[in-house]
Amino acid sequence: MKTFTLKRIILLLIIVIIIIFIFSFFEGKLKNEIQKNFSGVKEFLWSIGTSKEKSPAYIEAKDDFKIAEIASLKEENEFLREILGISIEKDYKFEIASVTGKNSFEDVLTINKGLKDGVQDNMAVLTSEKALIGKILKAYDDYSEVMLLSNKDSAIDIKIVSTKDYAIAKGGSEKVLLDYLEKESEVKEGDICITSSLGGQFKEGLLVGKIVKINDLGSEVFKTGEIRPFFTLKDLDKVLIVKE
Amino acid sequence: MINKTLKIVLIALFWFLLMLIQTSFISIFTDFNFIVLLIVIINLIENPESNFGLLSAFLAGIFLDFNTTYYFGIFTLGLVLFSLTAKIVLLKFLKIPYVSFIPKI
Repeated sequence: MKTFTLKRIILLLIIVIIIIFIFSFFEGKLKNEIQKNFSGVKEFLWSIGTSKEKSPAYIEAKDDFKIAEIASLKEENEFLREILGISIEKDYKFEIASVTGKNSFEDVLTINKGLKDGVQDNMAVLTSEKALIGKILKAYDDYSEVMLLSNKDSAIDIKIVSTKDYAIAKGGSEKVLLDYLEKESEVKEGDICITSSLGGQFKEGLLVGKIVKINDLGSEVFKTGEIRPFFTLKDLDKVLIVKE
Repeated sequence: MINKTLKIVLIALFWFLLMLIQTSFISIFTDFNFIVLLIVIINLIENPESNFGLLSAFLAGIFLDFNTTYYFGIFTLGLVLFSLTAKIVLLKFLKIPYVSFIPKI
């Protein structure tokens, strides 16, 4: 019983709090050093878990991207761009990054590119099939944290391609929820969602996901539902950061 | 003294390695945190007079804090508090047989 007297416990807690306090001053630098020096190991461990065969959702994005792009181009009356062959690759500047891990208890990924590579907070992060994964939550010198669409703090303005209705895609812990969809909307399951420029977060036309469920409760003002993104964690080895 | 320091370094290395595996490979398949589970188990089954569980809670907490966007220290403080509570309860109120193969520090 000598080991854990009240005096010792209080002293121990004070020491722990002081250490936390000191570490929190250098939190950014320490995090960056750990991620920088061990990104290779983490990238290797992550790559073991990811599968070479992509999920059906990931593959679907290729065709759905074309549908969404054409719809977007039509609406903007920019057929000429399509005819001239100007694609999204030429409109945006990408930075390729490798996924190194996922934070505990939250939908946040870490990638091996940071401020030194021109990555900045709030930049959009896409899969190689140009489907939105999320945005840069915080960029450190040598690595960045990516907030996934399914993160509970994530909320983005979306547009449904078929009906041109606007709604919001909210994170719901490992799920993406559809919200604020007007009652009159004729959206159906299977419709594709793209980003809308309304909120000013992302440029219009980035693939978000496919609607898999629509709830229309009489008591609620808006329709709600669920969106299935065009990726699973197992698909994510390399990602694209939209720099411009 | 050297023996004790070496033990602490080895424990730190163990938790660091586990943190690397947890935040990369394991996190692809599940959100469940095996580090927290291990800390809970160790603190419940080790000799309550040993400091191994407490030290592990502190080190694992620090490493977990470096891998979250939450306030720094939340895991460290949480795990250390759990470890201390477990020890007090096991020493004072609940005497259960402990596992002897867990190293005593």
